[in-house]
Amino acid sequence: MNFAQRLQHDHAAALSLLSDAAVPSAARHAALARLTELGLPGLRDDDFRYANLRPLSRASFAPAPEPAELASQLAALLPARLDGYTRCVLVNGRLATAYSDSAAALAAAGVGATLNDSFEASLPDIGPAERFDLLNQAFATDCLRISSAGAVRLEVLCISLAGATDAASYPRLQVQLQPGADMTLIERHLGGNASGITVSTCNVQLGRDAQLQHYRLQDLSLDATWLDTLRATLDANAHYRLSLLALGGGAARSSVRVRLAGQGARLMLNGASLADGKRVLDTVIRVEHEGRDTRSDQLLRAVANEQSGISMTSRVEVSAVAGGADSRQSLKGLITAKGAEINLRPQLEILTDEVTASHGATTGALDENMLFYLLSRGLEADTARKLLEWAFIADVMSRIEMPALRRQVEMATVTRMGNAAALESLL
Amino acid sequence: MTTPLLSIRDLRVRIGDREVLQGINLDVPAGQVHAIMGPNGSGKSSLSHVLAGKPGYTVTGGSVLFKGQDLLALPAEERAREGMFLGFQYPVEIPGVNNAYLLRAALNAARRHRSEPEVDAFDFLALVKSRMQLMRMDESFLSRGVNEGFSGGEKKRNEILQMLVLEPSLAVLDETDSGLDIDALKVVAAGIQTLRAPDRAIVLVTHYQRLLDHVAPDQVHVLARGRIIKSGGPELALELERRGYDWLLDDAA
Ligand SMILES: Nc1ncnc2c1ncn2[C@@H]1O[C@H](COP(=O)(O)OP(=O)(O)OP(=O)(O)O)[C@@H](O)[C@H]1O
Ligand SMILES: [Mg+2]
Repeated sequence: MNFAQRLQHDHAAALSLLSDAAVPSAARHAALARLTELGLPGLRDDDFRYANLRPLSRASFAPAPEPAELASQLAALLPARLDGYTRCVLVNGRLATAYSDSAAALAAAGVGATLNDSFEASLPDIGPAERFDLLNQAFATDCLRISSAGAVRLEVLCISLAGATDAASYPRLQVQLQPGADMTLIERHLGGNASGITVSTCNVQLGRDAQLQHYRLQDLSLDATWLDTLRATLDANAHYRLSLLALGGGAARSSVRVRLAGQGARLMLNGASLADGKRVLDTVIRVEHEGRDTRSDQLLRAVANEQSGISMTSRVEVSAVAGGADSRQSLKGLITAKGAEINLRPQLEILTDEVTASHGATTGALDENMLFYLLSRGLEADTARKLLEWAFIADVMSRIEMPALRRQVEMATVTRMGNAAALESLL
Repeated sequence: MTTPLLSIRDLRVRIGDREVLQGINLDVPAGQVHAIMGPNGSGKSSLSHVLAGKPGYTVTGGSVLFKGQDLLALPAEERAREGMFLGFQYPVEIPGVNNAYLLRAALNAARRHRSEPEVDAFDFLALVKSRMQLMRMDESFLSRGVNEGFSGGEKKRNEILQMLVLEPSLAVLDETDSGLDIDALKVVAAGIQTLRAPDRAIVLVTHYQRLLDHVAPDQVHVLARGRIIKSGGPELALELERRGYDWLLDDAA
């Protein structure tokens, strides 16, 4: 069966699992039709040039059934709770009520969290780079809708668990901040394995003057496939601070699209991707300056070890009416082995004169002088290298403003880097 | 005479196809301070780098014994753990690597090498703070990136701080006195003096007599065009200060 046939087949077979409340059936079918029409990205598709989509050629799209017994598998994956944060846990794309705070507790903390309510279609403005959002829309089992008007802190854990048979997870989030609201949202993607793909979608809407600090940590298992879409729209003077950390995943693709729609809207984006083995991590970011005096700052870092491949595309588009826009892109890659590959692509499309824009992209090996300095002080060669890799992403880490979370992220990073014992005393 | 701590015999070194060291002979006994002076580009830093094990230099001949063992056979990190310390002429900035972390990692690497237990955080801090006081360095330097944004003089002080924490048996200080203000020179000189001990040796690479006023050398060597062309006592440095190098270069040619 080809891609389209498999989609249709798996969708038809899964109908009983796909509630109309999570995504209305008309929207599911529309998404399916559009995705069938777009098809799988081809080799020449520039938006997917560096992504590893091979797992899709054999993946099952059927959503994983509700796991019968969670406790033992989950225990190993759930991070320690953070003080002052409410928590929602999605397991295989379904809200796991036993592990999530109750609706009452969430409400008391000012978080509006509803399930399968007020669905917002991804169509019609979906870009070809974001097409896997259509896959999510067609197959999503639950849609968690988060809203707030005040100051709130929330953690959402999206966990994919191994099932008996091949099956996919479809976590779906909608985040809506009312004007002036102020939210810190920690979103983590954990678990996963070779036999099931995870297709996640997060739609964010920031009202006028709203602020969202959004930490996204992808720490899936090293053989997992992740197809992710994040889309955000900002009203006037909204401020979106987004951290994208990709530590895990065997084949991970994240498509991020941020529309600075209102005057004075701001995006501050920090991202780091870290890979080893033969893993392929691909991030494609598109920032659209539509309002006047909008601003975007991007700081992206990639460290590729062994035979891994990391790509980061950052495209900034400034529309003709977005005078006074200010855009900064800093992309840096570190390659630590001959077989590793990094592709950094800063792109800028400006349709007005009244713009300040700067961008830089450099990729290089470890600095020999720095390495020698550390060796000349007696450090193990391996420790010295890891230390410099760590230093390379230190900028991004230091921008995680919340100490308890930073500590967790740093530990997760050090664990992924290997040689945890030597680096732990760094923290 | 006992075997010297450092013994260099006919050392020949190339960078690419350029021979930067053309047969160096030098013995530095324990307990002594030797100064190496010489014109710009004569090979002083090259010699220091080769002793510390910096890549990019090809040794084409000769030998170096450190504490009786073949120094050139050891990788850079093992030389350091054996007690070889290089104070860099141009210390590199390493943003993102914490100064205190590096000091502690370096100290523990040496201690593990000597089968000593690692220092605990408390003792380490006490040690570093006492050495920082000696170097008149503010404790805020500890939490900064290695040499990151340090002024020229602060970088040099930081090199000496590292030396004082590590207490090497042989310190090769490559122009640690360059770029220091008058007070800082005294502080650095005092730091170097505290390291002087019967079982240690210090090699000072310098252009000026100033440092030698504070740290009196046992011997002074002139390195020119990749060779040591003259050695003498402390008076040689004074003579160089007066007469420059031309008279020696003419002699040697
Ligand atoms: N990487 C290199 N490639 C080519 N030549 C080099 C390289 N490094 C050093 N040299 C040359 O080797 C010679 C010796 O340099 P070195 O740095 O050892 O001199 P120095 O005595 O320390 O000088 P200074 O007093 O200016 O510090 C110089 O002529 C220099 O240009
Ligand atoms: Mg020099």
